[in-house]
Amino acid sequence: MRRVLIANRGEIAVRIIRGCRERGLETVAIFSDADRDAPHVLAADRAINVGPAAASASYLNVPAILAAAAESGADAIHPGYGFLSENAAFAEGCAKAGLTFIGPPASVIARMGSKTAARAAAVAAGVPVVPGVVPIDQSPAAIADAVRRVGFPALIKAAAGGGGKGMRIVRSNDEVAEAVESASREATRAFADGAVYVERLIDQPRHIEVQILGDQHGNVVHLFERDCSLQRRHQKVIEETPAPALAPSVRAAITAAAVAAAHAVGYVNAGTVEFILEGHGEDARFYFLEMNTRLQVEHPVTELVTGRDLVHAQLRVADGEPLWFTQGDVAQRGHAIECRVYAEDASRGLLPQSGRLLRYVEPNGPGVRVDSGVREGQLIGVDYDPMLAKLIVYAETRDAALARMAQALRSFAILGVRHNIPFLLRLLALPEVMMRVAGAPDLQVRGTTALEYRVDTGLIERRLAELSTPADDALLAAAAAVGTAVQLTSSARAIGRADAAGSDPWETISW
Amino acid sequence: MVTPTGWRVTALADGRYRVEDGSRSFVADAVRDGSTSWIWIDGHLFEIAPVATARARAAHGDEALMPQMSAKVIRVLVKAGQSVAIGDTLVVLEAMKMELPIRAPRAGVIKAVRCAEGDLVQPGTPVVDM
Repeated sequence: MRRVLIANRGEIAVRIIRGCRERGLETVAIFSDADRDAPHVLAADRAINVGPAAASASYLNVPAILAAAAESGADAIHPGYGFLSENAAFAEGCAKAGLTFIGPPASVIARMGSKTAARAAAVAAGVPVVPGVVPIDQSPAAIADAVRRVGFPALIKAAAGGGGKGMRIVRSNDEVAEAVESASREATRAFADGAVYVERLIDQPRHIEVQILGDQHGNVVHLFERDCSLQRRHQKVIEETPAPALAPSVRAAITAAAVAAAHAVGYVNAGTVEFILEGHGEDARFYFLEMNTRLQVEHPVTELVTGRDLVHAQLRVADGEPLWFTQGDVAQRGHAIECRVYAEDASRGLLPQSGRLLRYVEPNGPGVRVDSGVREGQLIGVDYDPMLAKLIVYAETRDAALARMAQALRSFAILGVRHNIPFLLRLLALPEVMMRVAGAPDLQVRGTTALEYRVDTGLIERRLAELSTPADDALLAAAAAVGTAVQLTSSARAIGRADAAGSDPWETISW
Repeated sequence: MVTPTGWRVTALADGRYRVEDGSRSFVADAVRDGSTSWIWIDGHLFEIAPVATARARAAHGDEALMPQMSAKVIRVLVKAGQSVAIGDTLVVLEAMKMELPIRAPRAGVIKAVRCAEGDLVQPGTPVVDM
């Protein structure tokens, strides 16, 4: 490998470009008409336009991307996450064009991309799965029947799915028809495959996933787990590792299960096996959820705690190198947390927002990492995912990491578009998330104790009202004062006097 | 500058302001966007807009259902004259790869449907009148 085309945009394209350059590889970015001067374009050695703003015409446009690879003389393609990263036909197309696809073989992507086939593979490998039904007859009536057989609450999921798309919870009989139709329609549009399956909904589970890495010589190691239980609408918001209060025996079992699943399908490159965890302590049970055949959004927390660079690893494995370390060499050290910073409005159901980044100043300091793909002045549109940046912190203990995260979030100045940092700060301050117990040592040290860690994947939905409402804000008057000053100053130099004392001409909205 | 509420504001470099009230003191990030000010103070985001704009928005009335963001209409499920129950899905929008249903906030009769499947709709523009 000499020159890598990154078939993606945003923060992950920037992150992969950095990794390639560190390994002495040349980089080729692709971009849509909306991204002409986006950071990933500026970061790469070369950049090629692959079409209009709509992702379907650019970042999902396989012929245009393969043509860009040929035109730029690239000999490898890194798909990042999302877009074409789990598209077996694309991986196949790369192989046919003589390009190294930096990911698993197309056959593995196809098998794991079908949740039903993945489930069957997990069962065959002896990995526990959630009770469920895969309707062979995909007619709405047959699916509705499968829902009733599984029982309520049930979960309808897109067979080809991911990221919560094409997923519907059904709690009663009269919700079945609309949920089936809607899940199937969303699945068709998102993945060009409307097939769905039905599972029993596990009550208040945690989401635990295991990072794995396989080479082309049959070796597979895991890089421990990530806890991604803080989600909203099935999209992860905060991820961390090690998983708090995970019993050592459960950690050993879940990582072993992930490696077994990876071996069973002949997995190569970086991948993630997702599980849901039910119950607490030594008695917690885990069930295979799905396998993601790509680099995950939340991979940095694993990098910080294991000290392994996953993009470097992907590049080396794709180049045919055997794994250069063994399972025994991998250890968890310290604690890492990631917050996904989204352009969305917490006061209005976390709706995605668009606007121009009038100010964008990232935090920094010891143990603070920002993976971002935006810059000040950039217009945040509606064409792509509203994630602006990932803020990742690392510290010796979970408590220290939480404190570091809160401090970094407070110093992350983003103005011009509503965003979720105030929401993230409120979320981090929830007692369930903080788990601060007076006099108790850190969660990790405590390991499994009588204390139950009470975060589950439904926590955000249950607390949405309080998380969405700004605290009774003593700073409102301070903000109004600054607002008046800003309006009175044309260049931020001289400060005028507020006129009409007592009558406040502004409406102040706080988020 | 000292405001009626007792907060003193001092301009610092790079669009930052020291704001203090005698006991507390913060550095705020602030930018002006026309008549709107965006302010970031210690993890709190403020968007300060002139009252007139807010009133004009509110004056559209609660009869007109508007999207809260730019989106594409993917399904129109009602016609003018049709009676709907509270919670009925009227229109399904798509933005950011997600489906966003517009539901009836109460029982009533659809007065007019102001969009068609495939339309791009903007926040603040009515899509259905009830």
